[in-house]
Amino acid sequence: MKEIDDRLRRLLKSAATSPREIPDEPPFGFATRVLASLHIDSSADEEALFIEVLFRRALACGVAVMLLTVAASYHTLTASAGTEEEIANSAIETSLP
Amino acid sequence: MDEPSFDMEACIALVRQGDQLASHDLVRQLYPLVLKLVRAHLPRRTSEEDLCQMVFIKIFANIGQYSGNVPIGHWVSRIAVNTCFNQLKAEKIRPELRWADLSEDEAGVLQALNETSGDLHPAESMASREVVGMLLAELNVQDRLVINLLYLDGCSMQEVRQITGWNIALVKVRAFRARQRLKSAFNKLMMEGRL
Repeated sequence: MKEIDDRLRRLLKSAATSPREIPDEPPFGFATRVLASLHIDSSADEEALFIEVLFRRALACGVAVMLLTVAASYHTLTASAGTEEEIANSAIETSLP
Repeated sequence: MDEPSFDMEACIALVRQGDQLASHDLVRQLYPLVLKLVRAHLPRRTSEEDLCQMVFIKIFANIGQYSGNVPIGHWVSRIAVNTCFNQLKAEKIRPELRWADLSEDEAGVLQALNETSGDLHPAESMASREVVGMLLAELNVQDRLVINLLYLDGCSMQEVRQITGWNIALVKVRAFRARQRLKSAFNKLMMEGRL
């Protein structure tokens, strides 16, 4: 096992010395591409934010309309159905021409 | 005539204000560092330039969060390493390296390791790097990262801590485990070569 350790150490040592040329300058147009991508990304973010705000407002409006409707019909919803006689009278009145 | 020294702080301040020229200067200044890190941790199926571009986009998107308390190089290194790290995580398949996958030069390096006891010839360093790269491809992302930083980039434990954000104890544990796994993969390959 010690042999393997030594061989691996020598392999890593050799690999670490391999020359890797790093250019001083980025390729032509690289910075422009980066900045353009960044701009596209931020535009997409703004668009997403706009849709999110719109969605939230629509949701708030929907909830408000629902609450108003419930409030307006509260009396009707909570009123008791009435006595048996009232129901019979109402049925007779509505069925007569 | 020497180029006047680059004022990084002033450049960053201008970039924050949206100065395009300063942004170009910042890319030019940081490009060698970013490329070096990307090359060291490049996932197999990702282009070098695409990954550099992703790193720079993250740098610009987060430049407002750079406090200036640490050198810009450390901050950029962390972004670059994390970007590569996330790309590597997406690569789920880790092919097992077989002797038959090696080129003549790469097999020659392993034979030289078997037959000699000294350091390898400098001319063999490129092939060595290739072999190490293929062996690292078998390991998980953390193992690959820690081996790359410690043994190939020659970073100290402290530098690895700064780049990765792991604490020293974690760096040591991961380095030990990563080395064990690398040794196991290497041993398997060497045994296959002897057959």
